[in-house]
Amino acid sequence: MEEELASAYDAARAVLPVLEDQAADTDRSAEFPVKAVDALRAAGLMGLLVPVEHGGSGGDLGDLVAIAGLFGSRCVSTALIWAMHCQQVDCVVRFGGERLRAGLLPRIAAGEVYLASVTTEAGKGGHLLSGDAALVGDGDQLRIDRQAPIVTGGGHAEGFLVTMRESPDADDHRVTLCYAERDQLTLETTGEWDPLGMRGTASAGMRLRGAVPPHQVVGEPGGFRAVAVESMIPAGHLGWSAVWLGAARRVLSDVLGMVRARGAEKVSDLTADRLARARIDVELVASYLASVRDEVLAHRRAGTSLAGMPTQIHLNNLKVAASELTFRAVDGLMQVAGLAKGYLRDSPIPVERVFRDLRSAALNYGNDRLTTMTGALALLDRDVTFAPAGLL
Amino acid sequence: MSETPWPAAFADILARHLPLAEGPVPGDAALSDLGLDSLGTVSLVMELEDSLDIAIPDELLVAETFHTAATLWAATSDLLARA
Repeated sequence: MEEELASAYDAARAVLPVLEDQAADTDRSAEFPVKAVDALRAAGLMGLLVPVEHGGSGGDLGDLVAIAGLFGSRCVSTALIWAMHCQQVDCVVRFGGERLRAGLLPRIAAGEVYLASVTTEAGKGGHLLSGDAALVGDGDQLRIDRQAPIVTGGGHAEGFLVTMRESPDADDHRVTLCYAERDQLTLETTGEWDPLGMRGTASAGMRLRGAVPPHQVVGEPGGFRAVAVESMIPAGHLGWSAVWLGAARRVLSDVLGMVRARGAEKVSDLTADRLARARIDVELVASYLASVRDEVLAHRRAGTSLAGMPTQIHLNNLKVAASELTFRAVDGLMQVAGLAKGYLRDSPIPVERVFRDLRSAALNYGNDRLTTMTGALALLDRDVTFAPAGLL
Repeated sequence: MSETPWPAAFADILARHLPLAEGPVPGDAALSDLGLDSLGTVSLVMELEDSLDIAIPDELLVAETFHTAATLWAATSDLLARA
């Protein structure tokens, strides 16, 4: 492993106690985990995916998966904020123009720029690949005026990747992704943030108004679909799944510790069965995550597209399976932990918090949207292609 | 406007799956720009198979086949010739 990457792993392990210590307070307050994210900034971890020549660690999506899992075991909100930042960074690294990359990536690596994502829009039902509010050309600037119902960490980001309809005349499927600096925008927070779980992500709605120069367009104008298929969706589904898996694994580990601490008392068959079921769910997610990760990495190494039907199906399935199985595992473990240790907010093990956090997993890009898509795509893959052996 | 090298039956089916196409579909226009998304591709394939009595093999169900009207017609006409 390269030196930069090895020290990123060391830094990630070193920062875990910071994440752990603030997790309960962050959950209680529903405020952005400033202290934890500052620690990630200071440790250079915001630049995990930034190439070494731009001052980053030069990590790939496999490194994102590994470290997101570590963070997810300590604070699911902080882990998701970080994984989504890395998802945005991947888009800039792969689709940003030379000028944007050279200006922005070193600042990301230095921890100066946390990137938030602005893809949600009222009225489009959570559809990623369409847009309503349009970029308006104004001299040498592109004007943005956009409402977004959910912007994770928007109040604390220094930069935003924003999807906009390409122009006022363009069809709503012609979406342009552009980067906007905080000081290029006037930001207004809309609505309150008081959710069931993932409370630290502080994902209140925002209105963004401002203008950016054309070199801040990421990918081709109107060509967000390619950025989404090759970068935003795979990095998102891999990163989220890794966070949820890390969280469920930690709860399983804590509950095992709790059962062991009961001493020599024999474990009932019912408890043993419940522990086994949770273990099975966690193992299934771990191995499918590894399989899809390897498929994506192999495509990237080979320089081939991720747009093929089987790969799209696998990426969708990963998100759906990880969100459902990790939640199911924690739900079952709550039964093992019981009312006193499982259900109470001030329990020494965070079963209740992670349960609430993971309930969001099926909603964070809705599973229903993915399964209806996958079911239709599956009709075009009668062979039921697993990860292509030739690729791996 | 140049004449298209494919029969009206093909043009009709194609046009039904391109919500953004206005008038005859040019051979070199990207079908995705004319509104063909993944779900549209699924119904397009099924209608082509049904109406033209062909079976499109899975190895042709890749982005390259559905890139433009011309690439899709190339694949379709091959299958028709073999039928």
